Amino acid sequence: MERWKATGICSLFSILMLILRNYCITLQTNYQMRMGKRYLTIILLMSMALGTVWAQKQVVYTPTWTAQAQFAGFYVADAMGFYKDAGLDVVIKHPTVSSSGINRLKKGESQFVTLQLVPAMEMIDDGDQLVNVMQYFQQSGLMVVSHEPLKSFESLNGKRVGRFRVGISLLPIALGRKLNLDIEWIPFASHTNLYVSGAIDATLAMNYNELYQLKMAGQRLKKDQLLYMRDVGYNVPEDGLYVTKDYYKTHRTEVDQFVKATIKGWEWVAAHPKETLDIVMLFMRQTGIHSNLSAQQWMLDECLKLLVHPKTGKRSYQLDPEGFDLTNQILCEGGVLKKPITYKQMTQP
Amino acid sequence: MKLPDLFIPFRTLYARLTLWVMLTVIVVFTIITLIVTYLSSTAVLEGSTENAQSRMEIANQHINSVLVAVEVAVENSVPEVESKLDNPDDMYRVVTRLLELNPNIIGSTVAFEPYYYPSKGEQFSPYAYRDIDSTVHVKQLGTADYEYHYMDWYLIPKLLKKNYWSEPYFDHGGGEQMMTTYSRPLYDANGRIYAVMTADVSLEWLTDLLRNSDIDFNMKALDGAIRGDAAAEAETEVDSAFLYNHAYTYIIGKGGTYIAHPLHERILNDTYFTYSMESGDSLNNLIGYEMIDGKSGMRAIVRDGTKFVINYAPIERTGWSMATVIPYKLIIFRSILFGGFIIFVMLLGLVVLFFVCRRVLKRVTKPLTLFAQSADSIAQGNLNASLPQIKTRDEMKRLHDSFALMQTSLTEQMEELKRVNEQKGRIEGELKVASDIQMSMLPKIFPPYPDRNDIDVYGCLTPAKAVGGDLYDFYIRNDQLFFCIGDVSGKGVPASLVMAVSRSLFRIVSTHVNKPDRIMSQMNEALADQNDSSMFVTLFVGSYNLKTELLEYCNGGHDAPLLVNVKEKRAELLPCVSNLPVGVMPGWEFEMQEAMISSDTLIFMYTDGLPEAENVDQEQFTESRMFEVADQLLEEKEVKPELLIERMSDAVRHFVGDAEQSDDLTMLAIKRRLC
Repeated sequence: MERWKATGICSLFSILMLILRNYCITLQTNYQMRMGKRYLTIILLMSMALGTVWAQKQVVYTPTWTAQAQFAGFYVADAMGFYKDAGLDVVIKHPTVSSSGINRLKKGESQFVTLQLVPAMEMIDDGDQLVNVMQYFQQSGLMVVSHEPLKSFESLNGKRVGRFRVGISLLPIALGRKLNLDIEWIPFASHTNLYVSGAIDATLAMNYNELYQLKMAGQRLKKDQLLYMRDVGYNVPEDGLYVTKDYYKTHRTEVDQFVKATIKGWEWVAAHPKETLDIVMLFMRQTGIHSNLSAQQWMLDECLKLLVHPKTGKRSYQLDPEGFDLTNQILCEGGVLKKPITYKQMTQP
Repeated sequence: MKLPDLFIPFRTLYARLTLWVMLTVIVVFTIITLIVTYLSSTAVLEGSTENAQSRMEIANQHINSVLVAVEVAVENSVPEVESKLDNPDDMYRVVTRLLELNPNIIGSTVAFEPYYYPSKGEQFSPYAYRDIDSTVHVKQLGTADYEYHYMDWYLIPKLLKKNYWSEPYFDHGGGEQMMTTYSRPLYDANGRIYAVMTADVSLEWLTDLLRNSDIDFNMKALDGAIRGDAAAEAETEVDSAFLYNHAYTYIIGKGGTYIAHPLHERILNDTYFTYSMESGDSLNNLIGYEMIDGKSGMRAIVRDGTKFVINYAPIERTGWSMATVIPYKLIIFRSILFGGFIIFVMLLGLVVLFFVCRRVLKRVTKPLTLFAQSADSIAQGNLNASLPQIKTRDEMKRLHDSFALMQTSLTEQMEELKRVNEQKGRIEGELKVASDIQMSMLPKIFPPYPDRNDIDVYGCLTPAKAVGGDLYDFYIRNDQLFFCIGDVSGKGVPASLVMAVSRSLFRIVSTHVNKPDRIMSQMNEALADQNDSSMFVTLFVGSYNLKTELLEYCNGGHDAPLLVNVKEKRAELLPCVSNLPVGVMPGWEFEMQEAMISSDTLIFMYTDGLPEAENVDQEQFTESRMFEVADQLLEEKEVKPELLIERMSDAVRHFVGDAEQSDDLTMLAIKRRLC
């Protein structure tokens, strides 16, 4: 009985704090009440400090790109109140050109970020203290799209190939080095016009995004023009959730709650793809991104396939040691990593 | 109303003629309308296509004039850039001057390769641009947030090593408008690219240019259905329903991105294929593919049940493609108006034609009704019935004359007929008298000798015509029954006269001559004498002694009598010598024959009218049937002459049926009775 009373008081207090905070934010954004700003801020800070024990904890999550179906699980967890149910006040902050997810993580502006496994490993190799707390994409959506037919990855030898400026491109670069291929990698900001104009022979693409964009740009792509990395032995895990080691150590509960709520979000996505699309479109509109239902439908369908482990057929949400080892091996052999990263190093602080 | 009543109007000749005329005219009018509509719609479609192509050509020229001017301006600035390479900050003046001299250019830069000027760092790109009031400002374009080395306008011409018009893009943070950039790589003495010079051109005017062209077209196509430019413009702002009712033009880039489109939200946000793939119509995709492949064409396509005609052609220099989409109904709008007018006139004409036809034909055919009434009157016997007055000199007049002639002719023929009938009546009366006289010559009272119990005689004669040529006769003299039966050649009155003569001769001769052959010879001599008409008689003459039962007989070409032996139940023909008929050859010696005929035997004589009686199938009765009748009669307890003749008559009547009697039929039967 006493316990219920305490919970009720906590809840009431939390609601009061939230209302107060929102009121303060409104006043701040309106640039009003300059005199009262400091006063309110003090009250807010005090309230936050007092309410830490009972109120919901605010955390910031940043995906790797602007709002799109690739991050549907997070949007759903937020929109359906899974985070709130877990006692978390999650703010989804999308990256900008000058403020990428990893920058925000390093600066402490975001506590949770989505990173692909390959760049995450590179960062750890460079000394960044990151922990993979959830691996949701168990498969690779990376592929090569070429004007000429491709028999294997080796077909790219002597070609000019467009690549993403950061992230996942390290894998094919490492692979090219490992196979001693002469590939001229062209980093791009946007692949479509580069490919369509014929300035490059081939381009890296994600099957859930860039491939669709190329199709929508009128590219009549035949099967032999598409080389899926997962089909040629390089099915490495991709999108995962990362926090800093420090945060992991100090906020274990929040991490666990966030991960559980996010898993719940992705499971809901898998069960309700149609409703998920509506939520994704809503997030896109709210963040001022032009929404295209067909494109998001495609992306969601493809991403849902990536959630599933290629062998077990299940959504484990954990980093698969086998896939991790494969990535380790390619990146080491390609000279991207100075030394192999251990599974423990990746998943535990 | 009963069904037949519905057809009453068409039972009149004028109504049927009207109907046929109307049907024919409707068919002809319909065919004419279809042909005219087809020809006009084809012409309108061609005109529309030409119009669309012409509009695209104008837009194309307009766009090209701007683009060419920009290309020339950039090309002219290249020497200035090259001359000032030693002084990088002078580049700001070069690009500023370019903007000042070319109002079409809203921004320009000379973007150098990384670390071209080590002192300027990785990115050095002096950029001049216009603000809202067209004042030219300069700035360094490359920043941490804008790494131009990875931008399309820099990267693509660098990689392709050729001048390049970029795909249109929205310039965020710059001019805040849609623009395209012309990039001109700059090469050093070794042929290596050291910088890319660009000129930005706003494309905001492009949508306005196309929209104005569309409004103009729609107003003309709808024949002023859209009132005024403002209203027309408002129409284009509504929603996608506009696209199904009006013509519109759009431009897509090499990647299918909409560069100009009536629906602004599509511009730079969506590609052509976003919509064509959704439609699931491969023709939609094909059009898109042909457009991005730089092909021209015209296609008809159905989208959501609406038919469109799409004309598309590439825009030179850029790789973009322009398309004009015209709803088919808009194209045929005028055709429909034209067709509607034709149909209206046709219907009006049909109504007028109907009433004119009805009135004229009714008036023309009215005499026919009157003629019919006259004909009815004539049929009822009024041969002098009045005929309608015909003033025209056409077929109706001829019909009138024919009717009049028919009336006269009928009157004359009726008179003639009456006269003939009177004559015929008189002749028939005379023939009746003759027939009565002829019949009165024959024994007609049976039994003829009621006071005698030793002889039973029965005879009958049925002439085929009023009077006949058959004869029979009998009488008793000195217990001797003299009898004869004969058939005069020919029929009718001549035969009846010969019959009368023959019967008289038989009576006269047999009164003093006993032997049948003598009787026959004398009759032969008498008849053959001065027989100019060559008529003769087949005759059977017999003399039957009622006491001795001796039959003496002589046959002159006649059928042999049938002997029916009641006791022995047997029927047979009396053996006869076939002499010549009487009257054929004078001096002919007739042979007499004899036979004993008991009271058990019945002598049955007949003329050829019996065996040669024909039924409707022209089959003859024949002697065999006579025998059959006789055999049947033999079953009876007692066979009398009357019974035999009666049965024979029934049998022949039954056999002949409805067939007309062709010959006289005469039968005579004699049977001696025991006292």
